[in-house]
Amino acid sequence: MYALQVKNLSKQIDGKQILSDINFAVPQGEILALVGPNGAGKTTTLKCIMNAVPKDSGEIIVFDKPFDTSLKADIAFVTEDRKVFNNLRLEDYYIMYKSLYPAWDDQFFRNFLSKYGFNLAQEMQKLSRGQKTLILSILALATSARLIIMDEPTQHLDPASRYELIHLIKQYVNGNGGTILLSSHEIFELEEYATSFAIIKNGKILYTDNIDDAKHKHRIVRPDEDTRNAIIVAVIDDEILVKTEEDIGVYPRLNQIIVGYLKSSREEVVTGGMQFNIE
Amino acid sequence: MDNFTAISKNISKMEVYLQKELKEKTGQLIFFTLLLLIPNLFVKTAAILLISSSLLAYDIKHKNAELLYLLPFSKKELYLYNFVYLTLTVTATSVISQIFAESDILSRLVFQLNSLTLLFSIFGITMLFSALGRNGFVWATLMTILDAVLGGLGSRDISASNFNPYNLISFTHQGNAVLSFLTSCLICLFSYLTFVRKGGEN
Repeated sequence: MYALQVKNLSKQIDGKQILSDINFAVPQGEILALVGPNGAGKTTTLKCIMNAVPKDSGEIIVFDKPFDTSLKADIAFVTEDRKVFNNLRLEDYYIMYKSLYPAWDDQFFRNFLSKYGFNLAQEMQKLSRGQKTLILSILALATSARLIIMDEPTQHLDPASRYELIHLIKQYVNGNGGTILLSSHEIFELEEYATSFAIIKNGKILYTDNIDDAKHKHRIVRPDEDTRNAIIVAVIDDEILVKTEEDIGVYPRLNQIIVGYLKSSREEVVTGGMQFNIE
Repeated sequence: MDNFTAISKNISKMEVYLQKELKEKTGQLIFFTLLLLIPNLFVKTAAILLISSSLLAYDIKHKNAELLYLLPFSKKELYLYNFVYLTLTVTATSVISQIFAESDILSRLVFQLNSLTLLFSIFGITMLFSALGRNGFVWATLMTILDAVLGGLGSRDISASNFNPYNLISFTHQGNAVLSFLTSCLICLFSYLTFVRKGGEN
C-alpha cells in the first residue's frame, strides 16, 4: 500500500514549465528522498502535494484517496525556508499544532523540549535557523501524522542535531510505522536514512526506485568492458554507469547512481524500477 | 462525524486561526478596530479597507499564506474565518458606536446594514484581487473610489431625467439599502468562489 502516489503532476509558473508529468509513489512505512539539484522542482512538487501551490494537472492520491483538505490532519509539513509566523512563541505553535492534529504526541514533544532546553516562551522568529529546523521538525514528528513531508530537513543543522534528527526520522518510521517524503540535495547522507528515492531534474523524474533494488539494477564498469546488453546511463569521470541485469563491473554506490542520472544526457525518463500503477 | 462534532471542530479550528492572527497582528488589528468605532462613513470605509487587507490578504501579499495552506486548513475555511471575524467586528463596533446616537431602532438597523454592505463589498474585492495575484488593498481602494465616482453621477430619483441606477447598488452611496446589500453579497460570493477555485479547491 502506498501512503502517497503522485501521478502525472504538472505545473507552470509565469509561463515556465516547473513540473512536467511527475510520477512517483511512497510506500507506506518508508522514507522516500526526492533528490535533485537546486531549482529542479523539489519544493514545488512537495507544495503541490499539499495544494499550497495549486497544480495544473495530475493526481495526488493520499492513503488510497484523492487528495482532499480533510486529509491534511494526517500530513505534517516542514518548509525549506523555515518561515514562521511573526510574534508567535513556541507555546503558541505548541497549542496550534496540538489543536490541529488529532494524534498529537504530547509526551514526545515535552521530552524533546527538556532534552534540548527549549523554552515555550521563546519567540519562534528569534530562534536561529538551525533551531527553527529542529523545532519545526519536532513539531511535525509530534503530530504523529501518518505522512510527514520534510523539505531539506537536515539543512542548517550542526552535526549533533543532524544525527539526532536522522535518528528521530528513522524511529518515527520504524517504531511508529509512519511514512516520510523528504527532499534533499545532500546525496551523500541519504543512504543513512532513506529507503527509496526519486531523482528529479528540470521538473522531470529521471529515475525512482528502492535503494537496494536500484543498486542491483546498475553497475559501474570500465570503458573497455563489454556493455552490449546494458543501457548506458552516464559516464562518470573514467567509469560508466550502466543499467543491466548482467553480472558485470561492480555495484554502484547510491550517490554514483544519482550523479549518473543527473549527468545523463538522455532526455526521456529512464524506466524506474519502482512498481506502481499509473492508471 | 455528526453535525455537532463537525461544527465544534470547525469552531475550534477557527479559534486557532484567529488566535494566530490576533497574536501576529495585535497592534494593527486594535488600531483598525478603534477606527471602526468612529461614527463617520469616510473613516469607516477607510478602516474597513485597512482591516480587510490586514488578515489573509496581507499574508497572501507577503507570501505567508503558504504557511497556513501547509497546515490542516482549507482555503474555504480560511476565507470563511476571515469573513466571520470581520462581520463580527464591524457589527460589534457599529452597535457600540450607535449607543450614544439619538436615533430610532430602524435607523440603527439601517446603519448596521450600511456597514455590512461596505464590508462585504470591500472584503470581497480585496480577496478577489488577492486571489488573482494582485494587491488586494490597492485594488479595493481603486474600486471604492471608482464606485464613489460612478455612484455620485446623476440622481438617485427614478423619475429624474439624469437618474443613475448604479447609485442604487453602489456600496459607497447605497441609494437603496437592500439592493446595495444584495449586490455586496453577490460580490462576496463571487470572490469566495474565485478564491477557492483559483486555490485548487472545488
